[in-house]
Amino acid sequence: MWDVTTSAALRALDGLAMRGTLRANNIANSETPNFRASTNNFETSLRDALRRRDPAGAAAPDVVATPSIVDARGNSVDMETELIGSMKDGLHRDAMITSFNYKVGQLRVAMGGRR
Amino acid sequence: MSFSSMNIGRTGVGFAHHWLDTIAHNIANANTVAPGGEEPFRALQLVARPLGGGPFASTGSGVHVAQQVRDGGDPARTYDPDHPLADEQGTVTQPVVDLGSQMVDMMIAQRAYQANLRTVESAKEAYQAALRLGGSQ
Repeated sequence: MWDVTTSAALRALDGLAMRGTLRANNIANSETPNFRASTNNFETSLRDALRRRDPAGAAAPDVVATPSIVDARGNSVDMETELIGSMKDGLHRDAMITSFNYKVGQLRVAMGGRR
Repeated sequence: MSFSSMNIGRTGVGFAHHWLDTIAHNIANANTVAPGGEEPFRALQLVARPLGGGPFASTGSGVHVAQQVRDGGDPARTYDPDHPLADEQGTVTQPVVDLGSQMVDMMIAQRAYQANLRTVESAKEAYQAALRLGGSQ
């Protein structure tokens, strides 16, 4: 029932939810010695899957180190990166939900339903 | 959908709160003089450790206080023979509390508290957004 757009939006929402968990963990450990901040690269696996026109077949995103400077305590959490990234993720998430809901609205119209 | 982000944020807020309490305890005792021959008050420091999967793991689930460490610096001794807690030589043992570093730590702890609260807020917004899935625009 879902086309490429809706499947891609749902996969992106999964990736953003996982990234949100990683960000929360980074922020919670901003004062932990030797803690290395991490994020995920769901866009890469989703882009590859979209090239094959099979977003549902996107591989599970890898957890990778956030490219930031490690401080004297061995901690690489950059609070600005995390908080601004969190805002961007929020906008990205809202865009995905809007896209998904638009498709659902089209389905409703196609089925002759009313809003 | 799990509430993992919210729970992780809660551990962060809890850690920052505990840290602020510890700093308040240290500052409150910045003038606590030890009686002659007794160990002086030493500032407490918290050691944070990741919960769950540890550093650089997708299964990390927040932070906790692994241990509390006392400041190991040498206490200052001041000559004040009239002080009621002075020893036989007339010296008073001062507490080992660096007020400057405590104030800086307090600012960092306050910011950490706010950042973790922001995490909880972001998680709440994400769950509310998920409730809009499939709804009309």
